Amino acid sequence: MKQRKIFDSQSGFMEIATNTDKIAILATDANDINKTSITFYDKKTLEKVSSIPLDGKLKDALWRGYWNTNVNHISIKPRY
Amino acid sequence: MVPNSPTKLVIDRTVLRTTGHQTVQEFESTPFDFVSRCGNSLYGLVSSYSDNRNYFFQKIGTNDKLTTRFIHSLNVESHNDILIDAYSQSLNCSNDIITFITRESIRSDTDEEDGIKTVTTKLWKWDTQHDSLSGVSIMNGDGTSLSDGEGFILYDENSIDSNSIVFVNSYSGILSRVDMSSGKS
Repeated sequence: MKQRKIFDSQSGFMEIATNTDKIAILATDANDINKTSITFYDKKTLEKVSSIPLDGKLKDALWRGYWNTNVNHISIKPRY
Repeated sequence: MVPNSPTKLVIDRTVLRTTGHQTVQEFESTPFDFVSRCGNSLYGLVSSYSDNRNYFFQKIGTNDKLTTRFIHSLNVESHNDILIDAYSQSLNCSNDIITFITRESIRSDTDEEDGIKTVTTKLWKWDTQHDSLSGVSIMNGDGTSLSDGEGFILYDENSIDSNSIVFVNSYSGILSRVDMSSGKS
C-alpha cells in the first residue's frame, strides 16, 4: 500500500475529487478554520503537486455550499 | 429497451416459496439498490433484510432485453451486518469489472454501546465477464484492517477503478493508494 501522511490533525472539513491523473483534497485545519486549502496530489505516486490556499470569500462560499470539482474545474453551488 | 440512467430499477421476478410440503410460485417486485451498466449489459445488487443485511448480485439484462439472472450473494456471517459504501446508486464499472466498497460490522451482544464490535472495510471486484466476485480487506500501513474507529475514508467515483483505489482517511490524515487484487500496493 502506497501511503502519504498529508495532515496531522483531523480535518474540520474535507472533500476529495479525482480525475485520471490527480487527486484534489480540500481540507480545513481542525485547529484553525482560517486555514483552508485545496492540495493536488499525483494519483499514482501520491506526490504533492501544488496547493492553493483559499481566500475568505471562497472559503465562506465553501461552508455555505456544495463543493464540486473534476480537478480541472471547481464550482460551488450555494445551498441558500 | 434498458433505461440509460436507472437509479431505482424495479423488476418483477418470479420466486418460489416453500412452506412445509407446499411450494408456491409468487411474483415480487424487486427494487435494486444499485444498478451499473457494464458493456452492453445492466447489473444490479439488491439487499435483503431477512436475516442479516445481505446483497444479491444479478445480471438484469442487455440493451435489448430485460431478464434477471442470479449470479452471487455476499456470504455474510451470522451476526454480521454489511453495507455498501457508495456515493451514488450506480457503482463504478471499468474494463467489465464493477468495483465497490463494503463496511462489514461484526456484532457483539456483549458490547456496551450499540452491539457493534468492529467494522471491516473491504474492496470488491465483480468480474461481469467471468461471473466472479472477490474481495480484499483495505489495510492500514501497520497491516491492520481499516476499522470504523479510524474514521471514514473519502473517495469518489474517479478514484476507484479496476486496478486501484485512492482514498484519504479523514481521521489519520493518510492518503493511500491500494491495489485492487491484493489490498496492498
